[in-house]
Amino acid sequence: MIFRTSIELHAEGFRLVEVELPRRRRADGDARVRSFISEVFSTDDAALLTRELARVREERRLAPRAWVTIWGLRTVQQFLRLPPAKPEDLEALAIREARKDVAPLETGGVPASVSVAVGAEVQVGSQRRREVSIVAVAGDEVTRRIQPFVDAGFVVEGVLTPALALATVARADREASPEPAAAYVALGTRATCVAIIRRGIVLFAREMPWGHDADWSAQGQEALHARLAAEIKRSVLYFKQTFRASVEQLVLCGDVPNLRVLTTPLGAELQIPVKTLDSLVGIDAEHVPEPAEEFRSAVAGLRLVITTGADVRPPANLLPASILSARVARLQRRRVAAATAASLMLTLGAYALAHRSAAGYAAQVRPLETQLATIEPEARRLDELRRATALAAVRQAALGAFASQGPRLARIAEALSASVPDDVVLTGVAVASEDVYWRVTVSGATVTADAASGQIAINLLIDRASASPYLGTPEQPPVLRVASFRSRSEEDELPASLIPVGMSPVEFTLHFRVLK
Amino acid sequence: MNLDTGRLKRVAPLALPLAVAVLGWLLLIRPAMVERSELARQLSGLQQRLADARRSLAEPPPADVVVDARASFERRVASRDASARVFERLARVANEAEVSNLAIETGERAVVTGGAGPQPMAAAADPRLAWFEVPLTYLPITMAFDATYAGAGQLLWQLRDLPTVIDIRTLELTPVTGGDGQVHVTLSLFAFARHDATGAPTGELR
Repeated sequence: MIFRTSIELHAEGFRLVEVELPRRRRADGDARVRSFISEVFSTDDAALLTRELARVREERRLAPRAWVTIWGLRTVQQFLRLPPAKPEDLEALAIREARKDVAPLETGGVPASVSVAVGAEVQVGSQRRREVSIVAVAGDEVTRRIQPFVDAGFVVEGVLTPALALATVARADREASPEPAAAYVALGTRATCVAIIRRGIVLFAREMPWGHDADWSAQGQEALHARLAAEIKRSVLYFKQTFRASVEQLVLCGDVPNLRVLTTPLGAELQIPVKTLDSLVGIDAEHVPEPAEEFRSAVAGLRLVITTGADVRPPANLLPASILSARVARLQRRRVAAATAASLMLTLGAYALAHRSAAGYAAQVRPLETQLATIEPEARRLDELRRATALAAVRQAALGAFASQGPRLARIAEALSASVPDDVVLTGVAVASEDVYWRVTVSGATVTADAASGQIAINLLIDRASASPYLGTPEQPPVLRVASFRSRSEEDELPASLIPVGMSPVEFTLHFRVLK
Repeated sequence: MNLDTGRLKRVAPLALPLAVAVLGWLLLIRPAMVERSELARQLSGLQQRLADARRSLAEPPPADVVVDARASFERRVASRDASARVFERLARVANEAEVSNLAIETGERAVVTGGAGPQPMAAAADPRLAWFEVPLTYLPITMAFDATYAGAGQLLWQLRDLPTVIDIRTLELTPVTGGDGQVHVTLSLFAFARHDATGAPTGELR
């Protein structure tokens, strides 16, 4: 949870609340107040004010983030209708338009604090215009007035005038219709602020140096009512004449006792409905700070600080630009430093991981190298011995093979002779060396009366040869050719000594592959 | 150069950490990762070598080499030209096998391989000769004769314990027309001799 301290600074003292900031940027919920001080302290002495603020902050553990509404600032407020443009251009244009009025606020070379609020686009005659409200205050005066808060340990994030604070009240008032203008009045002890507001934009504002605490007893309370009514009426009349628009409602707040008493005389005088902000409307009634009774009775006086504190993004900020820019720069530096530090940490973390992983591998490598230095030479020696033994074995085998080539060929011839059935005549045996093999080609023909019998004889030859350890299975199927003789001339083509006349030979060729 | 301060301020929160990350990557992380990869590769290789070494040690030790086959080969291969003795032996074997129409011819001597160590073999030679790492020459000998099938087998059976190592290249047996069981045999073989630098004497016999 994020809390903000909202302070209202009068010429004679201050009041404050600590409000929980809603998580969402535009919160529709009620303001939750955690702590409040409704009394007004005497603050003529800045040092005394600082001490008092520091004490309160310490005692109540107040959030250091603070917005301050300052009464009695030298203020210039203007309402302009400018040609439609981009917001930043409108802002520059408004500042230029109001330059002459703002200039007197720039005393001692300190620029004025200016806030520009851009409103709706309206039709003015035949042209479209953009409503712009500009509020300017003396920058050095703001700095001087918030100094006690800064010294007390608060971080002042924003500054408002009472009129701008009333604009936040208007923005927060969910019951009010935004379109017709309404007069908002904050009636203080010794000062009164009247602001005419439409759609959250301050159209007219006036701060008067008298409040309900003046000595009205001689003239009676009616005199206060009459003066207040007269001032409001004058402002409304001026507004009507200037803007050609009416004010439809009067909204009252302030620390005047029994605020509701004012509704009847003011309503009768101004002929408009009067509403008082002395209830808990817009405030989380279930979490009222203690003492709750005191809070309820003081809520009308605390209304400005409550709504300002609860507004996530108030419509204006009159904190001097120099402070804002310095703060932004400081924030920027912090962000850069934080991002750089985070990047550095991530980089170092990644490096540490990679380095640690490498160190882990290195730690595994060293003992392995030691082990290898011990056992690898012996293993290598054994491998060499095995290689030598294997080479000797194959050499011995090869030597034996060379020495027995003739006898083994004799065995092959013998096996072939034993394999040949009576019905088969061999016409040629050829042996050719091919690497470490002999390719043995056996050609012949069957001496049978028909091809089927011849094929049986060939199959018998193959079976016998396959069973022999010297020949083995033919490496490919036999090449066969059947010859059927119908005439004597065809029979003449056969080798007469091999194939008897009248036979029907099947010629064949067998290929064997034998290790030399 | 026109420096836009505002833009610099905007990009700084992104650019500075990025620069730190890039520099960190280049100067620290990448070298460490390269070292890590190198060590991982080295470790994997060492583990493989260790496994191989352990496996080698776990296997039974090799049997002692009793016979030096290379020396035996060198003893069996004639140290000089043995063609005449081979020729004589072939003729005697043929005579014992009672062959007829005998013809024995020798061809040109050729070098099988030179120098020590395994060498690429000539296309026709038996590749097993390279295992003996002995420089060799060979003399092609062709033998043709007529004999009975049994006689041819007997001749082949006697082709052992020759004066040098031989390699039988081809053998052809074809029936002799009207030969009454006779076959014509053609046999070709290489007779090997050790090869020295000066070159062995060559000769041709008929």
